[in-house]
Amino acid sequence: MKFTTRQLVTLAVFGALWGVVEISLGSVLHAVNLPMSGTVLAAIGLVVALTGRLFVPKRGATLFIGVIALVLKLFSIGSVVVGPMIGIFSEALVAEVTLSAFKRPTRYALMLAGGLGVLWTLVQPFVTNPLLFGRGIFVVWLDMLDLGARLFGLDPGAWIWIAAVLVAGHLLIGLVVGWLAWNAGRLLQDRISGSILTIPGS
Amino acid sequence: MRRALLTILIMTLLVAACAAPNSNPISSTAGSLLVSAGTTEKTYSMEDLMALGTVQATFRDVTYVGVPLALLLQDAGFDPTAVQAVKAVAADGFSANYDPELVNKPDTLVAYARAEGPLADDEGPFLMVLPDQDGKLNVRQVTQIQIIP
Repeated sequence: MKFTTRQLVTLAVFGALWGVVEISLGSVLHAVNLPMSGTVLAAIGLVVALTGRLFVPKRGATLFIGVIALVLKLFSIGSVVVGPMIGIFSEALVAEVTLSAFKRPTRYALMLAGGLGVLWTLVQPFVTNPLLFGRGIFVVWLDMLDLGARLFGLDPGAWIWIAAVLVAGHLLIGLVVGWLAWNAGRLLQDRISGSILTIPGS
Repeated sequence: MRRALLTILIMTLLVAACAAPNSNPISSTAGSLLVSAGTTEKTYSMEDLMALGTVQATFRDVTYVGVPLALLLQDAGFDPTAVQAVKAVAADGFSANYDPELVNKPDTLVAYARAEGPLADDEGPFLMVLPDQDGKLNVRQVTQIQIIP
């Protein structure tokens, strides 16, 4: 995992983009108490991170982008940052591990990384709530069922359906994230190669 | 490009659907609080709660007056130490779940007033007050307390 200076700058740019989204949009979504705001932020952040991976197709690139975003999140004023910071790091790590299983980033690799990365936002409360807020896993599970029941109009007792719909929904959003990142990356690379002729890492 | 726009549109619709207001809000008599566990339930009015107790607790520099949740559950005929969790449901369908430790804390209140006067319009008639806890757990406009045995 050794990057050239140019690659580091490229990763820093993508990391900064993710960080800015977390600081600005993250604070707004937290303030308006939008349901699944973590999923929305993860989706946007992963589009940025996975697009960055296309520009620097090396192991560790996605995680590096996540770490930059995480550091920027520290400067978020007036909002809770520990949970989101764990989220950013975990999402980048999940995407990184997934992409590392492939020789090079492909559309399907990005879609799988996006799917698992976004799916993590469903799992994260089961880790952070007990650790950070001392809440029991059963109560977090009830929260998740309530959220699913409210969003999809399902009976809170139909827990299998609620869990299935939530998992499928998160995976679907993640797949679209990967698909978008591939298209955006390709489009950007084409435009840059047409004007500058050099693309870092490609 | 059209495909990308279509995808963005679908994602926007998904997000919008997630943010849609609850279409099936909990119906409740105005100004009453339903405490239930399965088929067993008991309804409380403001006067009923006031008769139960006047304990104070402070959340975000505002002092509230209300009944300890554990005492309310006892009065309704439930053992607060034997519950797995308790759910507070708001008029708009929003809900929060509490661990037994939180339920049995003496400063976990079902508030019916502020120390200096009535609850604000967007707080009342009943408000969950849990000092030192996240704002999401301090549910406003509570209409139901559900016990998960």
